[in-house]
Amino acid sequence: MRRSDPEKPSERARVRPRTDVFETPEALIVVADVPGADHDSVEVSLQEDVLTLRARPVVRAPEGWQPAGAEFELPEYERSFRVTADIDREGLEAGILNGRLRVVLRKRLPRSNRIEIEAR
Amino acid sequence: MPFDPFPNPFGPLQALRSLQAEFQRLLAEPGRGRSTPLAFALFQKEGSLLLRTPLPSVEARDISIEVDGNVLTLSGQYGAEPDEAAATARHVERPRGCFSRTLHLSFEIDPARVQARLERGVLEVEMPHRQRSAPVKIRVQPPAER
Repeated sequence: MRRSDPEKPSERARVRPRTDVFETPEALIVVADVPGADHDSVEVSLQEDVLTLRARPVVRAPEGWQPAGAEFELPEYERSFRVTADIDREGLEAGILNGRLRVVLRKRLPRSNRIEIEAR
Repeated sequence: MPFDPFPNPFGPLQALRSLQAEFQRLLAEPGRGRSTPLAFALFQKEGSLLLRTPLPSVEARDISIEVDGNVLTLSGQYGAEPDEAAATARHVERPRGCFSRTLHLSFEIDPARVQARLERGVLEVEMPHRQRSAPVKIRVQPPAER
C-alpha cells in the first residue's frame, strides 16, 4: 500500500476532479468535486481563454490513529477548460463549500444595437 | 468470495479484506442497485476504528449512519445543484442520487459512542468497540434447610 505525506505534493497522485458545467444566458457555471480542499488550498485562474482549477487538500491521518488500510488517498486536483464564450474577466466568482468548488464566469453581454437619438 | 458469518477476528485487516471483497462484488455486478459505491480509508487505535470517506457536495442532514451489532451502514443522497433547474447542463460527471455501503466488522460497535463529523466534504465516523462486561461470579446457594 502506498502512503504519502500530504505536505509533499510531488508524491501525491494528481487527478482531474469530476466536474459539471452549466450554462445560463448570463453565465457559465463550473462545479467540481474537490473533497478535502478549502479556501486556502484552492486556486482558480483564467489565462487567455483557459480556465484552470487546482486544489491541494491537506488532510492528515488523525492524530493518535494508525492507518489500517485505504481504498483511496486524497489526491491533488487539477483540470483545465477552454472557454469559448466571451467572458467578463472582472466578474469571475469562485466559492467552495463541503468540498464542492463552484466557479461562475459571467458572459460579456453584447451591446445593444439601439441608437439613442437626441432631440435638439 | 463466499459470505463468512464468523470472520476471523484479525481486526481492521479482516475488515479491509471484507471491504475489498465487497468492492469486487459491486464491480462484478454493475446492475445491482443504483447507488454509488463509496471508497473508505480506515484508521485504528486501541479499542476503536475510524472510517474516512469523501462525500463532496453532501449535506450532513442527508447522511444516514446505522449501527447494528458489528454492521455499519452508511447511506444518503447527493445534493442537487441549485443551478440545475434553471440552467442548461453542458457537461455532467458528478454523481447524482443515492449512495450506500455496508461494512461488516470483526467487533461489536458501541452505538452510544459512535461519533461522526463532516468537514470539507470528507466524512469521518469513529466506532468504539463495545466493552465486554467483566465476568461475574455466581455462587451456588446451598439448599435451604427445612
